[in-house]
Amino acid sequence: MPDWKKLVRERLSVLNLPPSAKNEVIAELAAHLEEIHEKVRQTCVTDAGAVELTLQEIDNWRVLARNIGRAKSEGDSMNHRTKSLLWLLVAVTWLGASLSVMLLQRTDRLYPDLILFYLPWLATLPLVCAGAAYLAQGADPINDRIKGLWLSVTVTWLGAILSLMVLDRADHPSLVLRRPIPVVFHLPWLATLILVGAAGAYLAQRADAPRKTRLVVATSPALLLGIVMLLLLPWRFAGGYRWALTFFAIDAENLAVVPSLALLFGALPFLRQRSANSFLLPKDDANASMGPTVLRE
Amino acid sequence: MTKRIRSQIARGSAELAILALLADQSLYGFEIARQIGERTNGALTFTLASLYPLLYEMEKRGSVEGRWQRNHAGRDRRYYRLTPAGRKQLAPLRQEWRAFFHALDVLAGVSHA
Repeated sequence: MPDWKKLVRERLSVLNLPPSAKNEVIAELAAHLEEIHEKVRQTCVTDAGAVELTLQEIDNWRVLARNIGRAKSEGDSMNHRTKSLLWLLVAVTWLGASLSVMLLQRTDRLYPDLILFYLPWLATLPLVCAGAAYLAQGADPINDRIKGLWLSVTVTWLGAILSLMVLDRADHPSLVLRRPIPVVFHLPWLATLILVGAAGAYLAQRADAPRKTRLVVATSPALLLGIVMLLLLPWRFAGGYRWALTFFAIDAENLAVVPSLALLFGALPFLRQRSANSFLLPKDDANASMGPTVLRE
Repeated sequence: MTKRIRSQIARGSAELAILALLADQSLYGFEIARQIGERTNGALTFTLASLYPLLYEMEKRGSVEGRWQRNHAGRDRRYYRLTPAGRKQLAPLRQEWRAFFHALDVLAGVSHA
């Protein structure tokens, strides 16, 4: 007969609980497995077979550790809603602070280059969100949400923004549409965005994110830039700029709409496949195993 | 039926099963799973992976409480029992499920199937 406590301790090594609580869980689960093993042993010829049958009680130790961690820890710290509000508050504060600095320092100019000038700072936004989410998650920090969404968003965002900053400072081929106001599309950046979109969708796919999430991750740089521009819009009007809406439309086209199409194009190969798990349908679906497992006819 | 609805039904029924079982006696995890399986002739079964996260969550919510005790074989086991709050939950929960099955019966004739 195996040492069940040792076995459970090894397999639940990722369980993030205070030592006393973890030891208690390990002792309880080990006792449960021991009883099942004894019961199975009465009908099973070999001990190895009995152990194998006993271990069928747990499909995925990592999921079990996550479910136990969640069940044990949430009551000790904050509830889900509080956590969500916390990271949202941090994200909004950071974005607000970034925009405030932009507005205070560059009140004489308000054009896409203003946005670009402060993009490195804004680029830290997803990192800050990831950090806040990490802290808010408490006992289960390295979870699918962080790995699948925040990490992917961060990589995608940084890839899009850094490539824009680098390419914006070099001579490169561009497409100019001669309309009442000429619109310039930076072709190398758009080409880079195809790769960035593909990378974002791929990372999200690796974390079993569903199709919608992969789509959001891949196009997140364009979405975030669009949000930034929307936030800047009232100030454009307040600044007395003529043609505010026209310039907004041009910026949106340049930095949000067309880039989102490039990102989407890159992401397409990774949007076809269905995800295996229920990522981002967190509580109910991830905890589906908490119900009785068999309903026999 | 979506996965979400299925999981909510499974979860709700599991909670009711545990609360109802613990209303009569204190039991430890293995016994809870065994008795639910036996009493329902195997229609409802709990694995370890499905049972403990739910028990811990119910404990966190204050419906049940666990305490280490010796069982009849002289082994230490963590026994769960209903708290007063859990006992209060049981009656309305039963009522909800009764209404649910009645509604399903009206719609689908479940009791005549």
